[in-house]
Formats: sequence, structure tokens, C-alpha cells
Amino acid sequence: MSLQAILLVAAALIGLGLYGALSQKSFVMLLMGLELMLNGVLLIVVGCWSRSTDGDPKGQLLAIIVMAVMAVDMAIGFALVTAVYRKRQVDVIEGLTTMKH
Amino acid sequence: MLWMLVLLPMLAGAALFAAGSERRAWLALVAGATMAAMVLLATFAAAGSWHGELLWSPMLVLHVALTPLSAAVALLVPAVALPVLAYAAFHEERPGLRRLLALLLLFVGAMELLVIAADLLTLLIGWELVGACSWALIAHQWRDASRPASGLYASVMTRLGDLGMFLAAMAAFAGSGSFAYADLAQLHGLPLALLTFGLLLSAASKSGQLPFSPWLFRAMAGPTSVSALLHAATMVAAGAYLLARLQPELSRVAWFAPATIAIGLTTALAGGVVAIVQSHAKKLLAASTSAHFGLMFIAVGAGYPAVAVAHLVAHACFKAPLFLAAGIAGQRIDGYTLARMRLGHALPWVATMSGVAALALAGVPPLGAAWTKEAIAAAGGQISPWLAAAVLLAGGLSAVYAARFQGLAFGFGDPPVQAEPPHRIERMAIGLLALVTLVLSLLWLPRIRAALGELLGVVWPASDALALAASLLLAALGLATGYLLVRRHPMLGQAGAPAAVADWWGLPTLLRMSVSMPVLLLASAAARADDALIDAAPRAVAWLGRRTATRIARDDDAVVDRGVRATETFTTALAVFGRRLGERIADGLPEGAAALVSLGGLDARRLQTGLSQHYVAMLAIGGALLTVILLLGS
Repeated sequence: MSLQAILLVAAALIGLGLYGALSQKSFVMLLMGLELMLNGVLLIVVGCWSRSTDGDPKGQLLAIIVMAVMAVDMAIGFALVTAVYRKRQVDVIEGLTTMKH
Repeated sequence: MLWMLVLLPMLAGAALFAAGSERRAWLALVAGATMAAMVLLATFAAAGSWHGELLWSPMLVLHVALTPLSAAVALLVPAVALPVLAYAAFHEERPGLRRLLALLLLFVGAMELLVIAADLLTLLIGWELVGACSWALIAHQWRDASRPASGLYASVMTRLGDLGMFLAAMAAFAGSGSFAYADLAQLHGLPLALLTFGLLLSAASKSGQLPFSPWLFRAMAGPTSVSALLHAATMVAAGAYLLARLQPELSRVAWFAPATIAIGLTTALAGGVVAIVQSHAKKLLAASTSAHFGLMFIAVGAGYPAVAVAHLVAHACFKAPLFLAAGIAGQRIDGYTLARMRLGHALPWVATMSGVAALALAGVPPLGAAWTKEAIAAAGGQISPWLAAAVLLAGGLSAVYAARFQGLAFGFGDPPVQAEPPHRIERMAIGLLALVTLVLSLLWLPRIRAALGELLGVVWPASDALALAASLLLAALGLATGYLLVRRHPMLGQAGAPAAVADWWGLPTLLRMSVSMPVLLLASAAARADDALIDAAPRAVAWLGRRTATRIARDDDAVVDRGVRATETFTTALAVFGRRLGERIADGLPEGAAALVSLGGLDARRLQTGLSQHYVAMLAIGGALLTVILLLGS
């Protein structure tokens, strides 16, 4: 499997994630889109590591950090969503207008 | 060292003035001590034949030296000044007493410089100083306006003679290249004649000879002590002394002897008559001074300068006490009108001392002045017996006025006048001078006379028994006439023809008519001519200038002003334009920028929708742009 193929898959993942993040109204779906984009990024990191650095441990480390970031991201994201819902009874993005200028 | 003789009194005078004390005893002490020191110094200087030189510049050297004759005068000056200054300190009025004493000291110093000078330049300096001091001293009581005027009169009259001194100095320098007396022997011809003329002129003016005599009357405006010093030992003595000192050089000119004798004789006789009819005590004495200096001139002209100096000494010793006595008498009656005096009862001591001096003035043997008069007659006799007779006649005249002075001033009036006695110092001063007059009687002793002649290095003229007898007779006759005048005509000289004669035969009036008025008329005519003629050219130039200026001014209005006004208009327009443009630029730039920024701010706010998709979309667009840029860059 060539690096090119891996990058194509990763780009597809990122594109899907971006679409999801832009198009979905629900907070949960927005977070899913973001997860997909991060997965694409993780795939690029791992692909590049395996195909071009001959098993440098630093690449592995970066991949693990990105994974940890994804987990933290999810945890904080869902915590926020839960907090917003409890407070305002909303689960869609348009319901939250306090970030306006 | 000889300079000390000059510096000492001058410094003492300055110190006296600076010290500021007005106490009479202190002033008398300082002045008297200075004079005593000078007498000592002069004695030592004469004994040690001191001399001095002061290098002024390579060309000009000031010399001072003493000859036997000048030593005698140098000794005489402080010796006479000593009692006179002491008298001045106690006699004169309070205001300005310190200044008077200081000036008198300076006066004596200047006279000493003149006496010890051994070249014409030094002589000139002393001569001028003496003249300046005499002006200040005569005008001493300046609060009375007539006194400064008298000082000025005396000063101008003697300065006229000073011109002769300048002429003499220039002639000597031109002829011999030096001012020194020692080099005068090199002079010949015209320079020598000019020198003689100049010196004779200045000596005649200083010594009150005709036609300069009237200044001595005006000099009587000064205080008594000034008159005494002026007539006895300084100033007036300078003229006769100068001729006696330079007689060897001057007598090389043929006309010197006749001219000097003529001046002296005329003054002696005219002055004698003036003194006889004079009614003012001090003026009588002043006229007699002129007359006696005339006698000294005769002695110099006859070739016996030592006789002149001997008479100068004798004259100083009797004239000073006469003036001092006249001063005391004048103070008692508040004026000097002889007819009002008759103070014999009130002032016995002064009257006695004045009597001694008056006898000397009259030339009565055995007083010293009588012998010097005899010597002058004998000297004149060697020229002509008539001259000797004229001298004896002048002596007779002096007997007349001496008797008249004594009789009127210190006669015994009826009723006896009461007056306060003079101060002890005043009496002592007069007594001392009268004593010296008496001591001079020793001149009659042949042995003393011979010793003195040896000391001075001179030969006295042989006297003549006949002349002596005639002199005695004339003196007796003169005294008798004087006595008669006192008895019969005490008011003589106060009005009529005698009063005219008493004022130097009307000479001051004549001088005014013949010299002052023509000069003044000429001056005013010249001033008028100056106004009319010489001023015309400047006035024309001024007129032309004014015209041109007017024209230029008009052109100036037309052309220059228009230019200026146009410039002003242009500048104003420029300023208005600049103001408008400047406002637009200066205000517009910041305001426009502010508006743009505000607009940008408003637009930027619109991006902040509060919707996370928008933010995410912007992030994505930014990421896409970044990617495109990176791709393009690679």
C-alpha cells in the first residue's frame, strides 16, 4: 500500500469530517465531524511515519499524542454539550447565541 | 634725592587732604613740619650739591640741580612758607581750610620744582603747576562769584605769558636738540632771540610787570595767606628768579639788558605811584610787589642776578609779614579800606612787627632790604647814573607808601579802636618773619657780605657814598611825605584822578578797551560772518538735500509702496488659500482614516455571528487558503 493511497484515504476522511462539522446542526454531530478530521490527521501521521521515516519512535509518539488529544477533545466536548443542555435545554448549534458579539 | 624736595610737600598736601581732619592745630602741625623738613632737606641738598635725573623717554630727560642762587631760593621758599602756612591754619575761615592748606603745600612743591629745575621742560612743568595752583587758590572762596572770576583773570593773564615759556622751550629744543640749561650755550641767532623773548614775556607776566601788572590786584581776591605766599616766595617770585637763573645765557642777546631794565624801571616807578594812591591795604602791597620786582628786573638787566636774588630774599622776608598783618587788620574791620583801619591801639604787637617790615619796605638802613636796594642802585649805576637815580627815586616812592601803609593801617586813631587780639600762632608767624627781616641787617656788615658773596660765587657791585647819602635823603623825604599824606589826606585814592591812577593808571580799562573789547567785537563779527557766509554753503546743501529727500519720498510712496502693497495682497491670498487647503488636508486625513477604521471595525463585528459553524467554516477556508499558498509555493 503506497503512501499516496493512505493520503487519499486521509484526505477523504478530513473532507467528510469537514462537511459534517459544517452541515450538521446537532452538537454531537459537529463533534463527530471533528473526530473524523482528527482521524484523517492521525492517519497521515501514521502513514508518513511508516512509509518515510523507517520506524522513528518520534512518529509513534506523535500519533499517540494525537490520539490522547482526540480522547480529551471528546471528553471535554461531550461534557460541554451536557452542561449546555442542562442549563438551556438546547442541543442544536443555533440555540446558542451568547457567543455573538 | 633732590626730587624729595618736590615730592615731600606734594605728598604731604595729598595726605593732609585725604586725612580729613579739619582741626587747625593738626593742619598747622602737618604743614609746618613739612616745611621744616623741606628747609632741612634744602640745606642738605645745597651742602651736598644733590642733583637728580628722571628719564621720561630717550629724548626727554628731566633734570634737577642746584646752583648757589637756586639753592638760596630753594631754601627761602619753605622758610617763608613755614610761618605763612601756620598762620593760614589759624587765620583763614573754616570752610575749605583743609583744601586750602593742601593746595598751599602743593603750591610750595610746584614752586620748588620750578626753582630746582635744570632744564626747560622741568621748569615748564613747575611753571604750569604754579599757575594752576594760583588759580585754585585765588578762587578758593568760590561761593562768592567774583573770586573765581578774579582767579580766571589772573590765570588768563599769566597764561598769556606762559605762551612765551612754551615758545622758549620750543626754540631751545629746535636750536640745541635739548631742553637742558647746560645746552642753552649752544644757541645762537634766532632760537636764542626767541628763547630770550619767550622767557622775558613769561617772567614779566608772572612777576606782575607792566603791562601784566593788573592781575596782581585781581589776585587779592584770594585769602591773605595765599597773597602773602604768592607775593613773597612763590609765583610772583618765579619770574624774577627765572631771569636771574638764566641771566648768563639770556644776556648774550644784545637787547635783553635794555628791555629788562625798561620793563623793570617802568613798573618800579608806575607801581610806586599806584601804591602811593591806593586805598586798599592788600592792593597797596600788591602794587609795591610789582615795583620791587621791577627793581629786581633792573638788577638782572644790569648783569647782577645775585643782587636780584638777594633783593628777592629780603623782599620775601618783609612782604610776607606785611601781608599777614594786613590780613589780621582786614579781619578786624571786615574789609581792607586803609582809611578805616588805624588799629595801632588794638593790635600793638602786630603794629610793631608790621612797622619793622614797613621800614624794610621803605629801605631804611640798617635793614637788609635797604642794602639790597643800594646794591641795585649801584648795579644800575654801572649802566648809567640816571638809572641809579631812577632806582633811588623808586626807593623813595616805596618809602612814601610804606609810611602811608603803616600810618593808615596801624596808626593811632582817635578814638582808639577796640579789637580782639590775634591768635598766638598768627603773632608768632609775623614775629618770626619780622625777626628774619631784622637778621638780614647783617648784610650791612662787610665781612658777612664778603662771606656770602664767596658762598654764592658772586661779586657785589661796589657801593657809592654819594648814592647812599641820596638814598637816605630820599627815604627820609619819602617817609615824611607818607606821614603827611596820612595826616592830611587819609582818604587819598578813594575818588577822582588818584583813584584812576590807583588802578594801574587805568591799565585794566585800557586793556579792556584795547584788547578784550576788540577781540569780543571781532569774535562777534566773525560769528556773524560765519553765520552769513560760511554757513550758506552747508545751508544750501541742506536745502538741496531736503528737496531731494522730499522727491525721493514721493517716489518712494509711488513705487516702493505699491510694490509693498501688492506683495501684501499676494501674501494674504496665498495665506487664505493655504488655510483652506491646509484645513482640508490636516483635518481630512485623520478624519478619513478614522472613518475607515470605524467602518472596518463594524464589518469585523459582523463576522462574529456567535455560530460555531461560521467560525469552523472560516477556519476551514483559512486552512484551505494556507494549503493553496503552500502548494503554489512548492
